[in-house]
Amino acid sequence: MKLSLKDVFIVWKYEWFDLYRSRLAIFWLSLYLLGALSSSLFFIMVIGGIENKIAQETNLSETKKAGAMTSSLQESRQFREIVTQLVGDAELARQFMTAPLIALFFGWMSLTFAPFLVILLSSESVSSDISSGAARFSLFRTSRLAYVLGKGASQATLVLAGIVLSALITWLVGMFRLSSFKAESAAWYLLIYSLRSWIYTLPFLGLGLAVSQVIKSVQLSRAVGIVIFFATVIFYRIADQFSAEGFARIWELLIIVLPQGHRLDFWRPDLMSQVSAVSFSLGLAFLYFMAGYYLFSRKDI
Amino acid sequence: MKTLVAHISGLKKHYGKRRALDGLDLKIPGGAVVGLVGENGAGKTTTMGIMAGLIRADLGTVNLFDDGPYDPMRHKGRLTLLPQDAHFHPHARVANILVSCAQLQGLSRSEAVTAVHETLEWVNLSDRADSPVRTLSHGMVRRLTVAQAFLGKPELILLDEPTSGLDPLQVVQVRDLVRKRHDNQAILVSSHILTEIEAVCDEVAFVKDGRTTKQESLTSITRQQKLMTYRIERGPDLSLGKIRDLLPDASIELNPEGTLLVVKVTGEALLSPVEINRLIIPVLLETGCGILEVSTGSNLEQEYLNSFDMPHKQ
Repeated sequence: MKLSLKDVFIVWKYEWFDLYRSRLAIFWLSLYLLGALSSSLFFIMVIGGIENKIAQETNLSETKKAGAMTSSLQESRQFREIVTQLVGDAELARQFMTAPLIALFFGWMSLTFAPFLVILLSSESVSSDISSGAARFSLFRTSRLAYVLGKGASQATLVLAGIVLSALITWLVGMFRLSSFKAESAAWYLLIYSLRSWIYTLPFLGLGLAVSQVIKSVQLSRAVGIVIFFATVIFYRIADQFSAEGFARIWELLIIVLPQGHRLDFWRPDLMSQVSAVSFSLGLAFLYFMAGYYLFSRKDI
Repeated sequence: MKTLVAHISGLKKHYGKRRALDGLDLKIPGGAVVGLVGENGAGKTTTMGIMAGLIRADLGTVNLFDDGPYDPMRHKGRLTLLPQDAHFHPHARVANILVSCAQLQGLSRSEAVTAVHETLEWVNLSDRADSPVRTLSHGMVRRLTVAQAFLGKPELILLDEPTSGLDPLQVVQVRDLVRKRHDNQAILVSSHILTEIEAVCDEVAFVKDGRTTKQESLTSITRQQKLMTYRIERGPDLSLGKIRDLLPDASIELNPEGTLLVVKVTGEALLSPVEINRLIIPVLLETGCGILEVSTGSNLEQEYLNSFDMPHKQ
């Protein structure tokens, strides 16, 4: 298996520009932008409602801008419940009491929705070239591995750009719509959560690319990508439900090979959890991608 | 004898139950233009796909450049392909596509830009270098696909139906492009249009049901040295016996209308077309025949049909 990094770069560059020329990148980035804008505005509206409720209960005057009562809010039971629900762990929730609200919400949103967008985007990336025959202009010029890696890298770049853009929009919304907004702290947390979200999406990118390397039809490839995405969600839920002591620990094996099994570790602040989450996500991305590549490398184009 | 840039033997390939290749053999000498002729499904595209590493053969050997089967990394830039029914991304721009192709072939950025500039001039697309593919006409797109196959200095170029879907004028344009560009490179051309193969090829291979039935030089296949046809107005005293006496090693035939006299030279002692004319034309004139046309050899279409025992009209 020979690989030329120069060829990977050439394919990446061509693909990246092609995503822009085809307006596909603009479409996806707009989707991230609109998603971030609407969800952060909605979140601020909800926060404002909770703050006002607290104000009424404590006989304080209501505020026009959300966030003024953040410190009070973060100690409130409702808020704790929201955060606990977001991260799915009461212990963990306590660690997040100090993180900016809007950054927490961004982290949850991007960890929840970005993988689906990634599957939608990547599951047709190679199959569209195979079905149109465009791949046949490249695959006698470079190795199949360099070709699919270049395409995967361009998709990963687009996803990173989308997540960072979403973080920027969220930060701007917080800046203008939240009072007591700690700009520097929020920027730092948004950046950290952006990177974590991006790494978390990589196994899904690997899954999407695997599907698109195996299936020639664009529509079928996309449909299978979506089915596999929801299958991972369902299998994770089942495995999480049945995992227990004794023989039931076998379900933990399934949790390990599913991307969702490492999601919680991305929230944990300690280094070991972060290293574990990043390592498993990169490992799974590689595993899924290579499973698809194994079949692609033997495929007649 | 020229060295071979490609030597294929016993190539077999199945797609499920369908047999695409059944022991195909092919030799491509360096610098030669070889035509691959066969009906739809004969295995031409599969052969080129295997040669370019896009399709895996079930059995058989492919030896390119005397260095084993094609490997895009080991043989970078030495083989190019014009694939059939393949489309560029409609939004991609002409020059960007070609620069990327050239760079993937191993050319540096500056070399690629120079090669693309030259190639676009050659295919008359210089003014469309920055145009997206979707804005080009069908003929322009075909010229673009031909151009990508001639980027750099490949030693072997595979052209799969290069004029497919083009109108007659565009066919002539592409054929001229290939003929002009041919610069000591070996080219394998597949086509349904036999006049096109005849116009550009040095050698021809007939393929049927995944096998090569014949591979010879074009002059040999069309029997340029062995067949003379005289289109005549029959004279009152024409006697075939007199001509047969002059050419005992030849078969002499006259069609029922008495308008076509066909001389097929058999045996080892070959007479050149000029020598045959020296013998036959005086006899025709003496016997009061009018000579309307003299032609040597057959044409590829007739020989192709003959080789598969298919009927044809003269």
